[in-house]
Amino acid sequence: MNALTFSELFRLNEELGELLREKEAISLKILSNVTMNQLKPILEYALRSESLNAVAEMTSYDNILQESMHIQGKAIPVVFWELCNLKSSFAFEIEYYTPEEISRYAEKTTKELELLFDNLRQSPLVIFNRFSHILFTNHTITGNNFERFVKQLNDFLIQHAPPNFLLIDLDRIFSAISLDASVDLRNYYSSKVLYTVNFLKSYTSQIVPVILSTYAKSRKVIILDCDNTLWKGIVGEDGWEHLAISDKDKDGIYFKEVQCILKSLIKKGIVLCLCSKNNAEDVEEVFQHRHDMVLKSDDFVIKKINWNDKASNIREIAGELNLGTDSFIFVDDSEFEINLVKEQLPEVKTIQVPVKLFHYPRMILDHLPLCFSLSFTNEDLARVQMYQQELRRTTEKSRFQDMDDYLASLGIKVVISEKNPEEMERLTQLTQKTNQFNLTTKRYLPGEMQQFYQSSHTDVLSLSVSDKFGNFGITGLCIIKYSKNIAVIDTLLLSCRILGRNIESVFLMEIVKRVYMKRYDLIQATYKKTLKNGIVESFYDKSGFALLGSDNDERRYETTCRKFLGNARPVKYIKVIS
Amino acid sequence: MEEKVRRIMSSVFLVDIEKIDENASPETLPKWDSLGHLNLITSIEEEFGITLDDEQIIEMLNYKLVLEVIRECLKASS
Repeated sequence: MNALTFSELFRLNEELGELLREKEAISLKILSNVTMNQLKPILEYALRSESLNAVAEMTSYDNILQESMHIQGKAIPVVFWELCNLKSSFAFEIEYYTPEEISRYAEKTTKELELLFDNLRQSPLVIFNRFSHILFTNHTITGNNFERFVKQLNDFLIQHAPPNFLLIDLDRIFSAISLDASVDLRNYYSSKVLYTVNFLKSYTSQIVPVILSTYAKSRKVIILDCDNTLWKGIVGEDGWEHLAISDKDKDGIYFKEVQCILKSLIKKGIVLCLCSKNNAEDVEEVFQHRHDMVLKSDDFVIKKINWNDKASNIREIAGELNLGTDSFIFVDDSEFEINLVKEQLPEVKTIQVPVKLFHYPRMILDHLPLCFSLSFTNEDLARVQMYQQELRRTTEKSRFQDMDDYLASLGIKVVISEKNPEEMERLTQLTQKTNQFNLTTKRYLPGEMQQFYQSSHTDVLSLSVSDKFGNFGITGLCIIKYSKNIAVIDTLLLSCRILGRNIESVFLMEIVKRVYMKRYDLIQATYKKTLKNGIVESFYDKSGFALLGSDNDERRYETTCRKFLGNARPVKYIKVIS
Repeated sequence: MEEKVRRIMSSVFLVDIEKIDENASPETLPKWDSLGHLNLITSIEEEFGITLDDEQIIEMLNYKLVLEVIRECLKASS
């Protein structure tokens, strides 16, 4: 909204209004004793952007009390009651009033407030601003009558406003965008237009989440990724010992504070879930061993720790909790995952972990209004328990939808190159570092890699991946050794960052094609089990290789190029460049 | 500049841009009332980066006068 000029917003608001016309209207009534007409398009636009057919209506000027009598049903009143305009020049006249005169005004206003409270008690939500004096008082001269008057009435508000009144602190908005940017005295004196469009945008962004959670659905479930979202680091690569999670670790404090915020939400009935591409045992190990972590294993109602795509996992969570995905918030550090969820489940609110980590706790805090409405019930509080019980009754359902459509939209390109000298160092490093998608986990030293490069009986293929969002760099390696008439896949590995896009099957197909071009047909391959590579345990089985034999830690496979290529289904959405 | 003004006017007065001709005024555009005028001023100030004083605001009685005042303002600030 902030990127739009006012005239653009004005036009777009009309267009959105036309589009949403068929939907049930959500009525907002603006009651004020200053001119607030420009709030109407801004507020409507912000809500219409969230697909609500919001219709804001200006009620008659300076007639708050009388207008409040006519507000019915689900309409949400937004009240701008400016004490400076109780009567013309009030903020300055009050400075020479006698104490009796001042208390007469205070009494009159509190009476009116009480009547207003009564009139609006039935509304689902009332947006009412705390009174502010700072526009009309001086910072260094204290003891103003106006300041005292405002404080007195604010105390009254806080004590007596009904629970459906949301009290907005305007001073916070002034401090966020500055007083000068908030008010336009020229327009105030000419036509009682006190607030600028800037102010109204900022004000709107404060109240919209609360309206959303009252009128539409409030968010009840927060689904979190693990690596670089719940903690800093990648458990599958770094090990649980090296994750940053608390004050003593570098950057740990950001994740600790985010966890503190999340922990407090459980008490308020928000359900936490995990959705992470990892080995489940690795994640459980973190919970078992990292006692310095604020959140515990039991704090998460559902954990989807697997290698399925996240949209499918989120749909499963919805099925298991029996909740719509429109009540979900999803937090992840990966742009790929965020975009996948946005595209497939646009109703899910996504939050991407910021690059500048010091923004992270605050970013989570800023989204919390989406989770709460003023009508908070015991049922909300019991929700976490309820879901835990419900879960035992339901069985898992798997659904995969439209994944290919999403992947096709990414424009994935892979580049396969052979023995490029510039890549040697990086490829050696990949054999050292890659734990999860690594079929044989053979670690090589630079000297050994050099020998592979020089040998005419060995192929070294590298894989680089990019998509429309950016370049992942060199993220895959295959070493093939040829002897007599057999090609043996010595090493096949991919960096975890690119999984979930079927790149592995494209890579394997390209490998087989190369072997075939060299006039070999028989291919042998091995899966060697480690603590970390469970994810590729059945990679060759799924790829159509025949199992030759196995012992505890090793499974040997075989296929022929002809058979493999005859059965292979090309992945249309990935473009291969070699 | 004329194009920009016509675009702003068509947005805030909610009419097709063809309707904003030389003769456009509160008489030809139903939405050009006092509130429409406020929206027009807000947008002109925002998009031209100028600040109008209260007398200029009152002078802008039709399309031609709007252009004239903006020209005057831009000239004074350059």
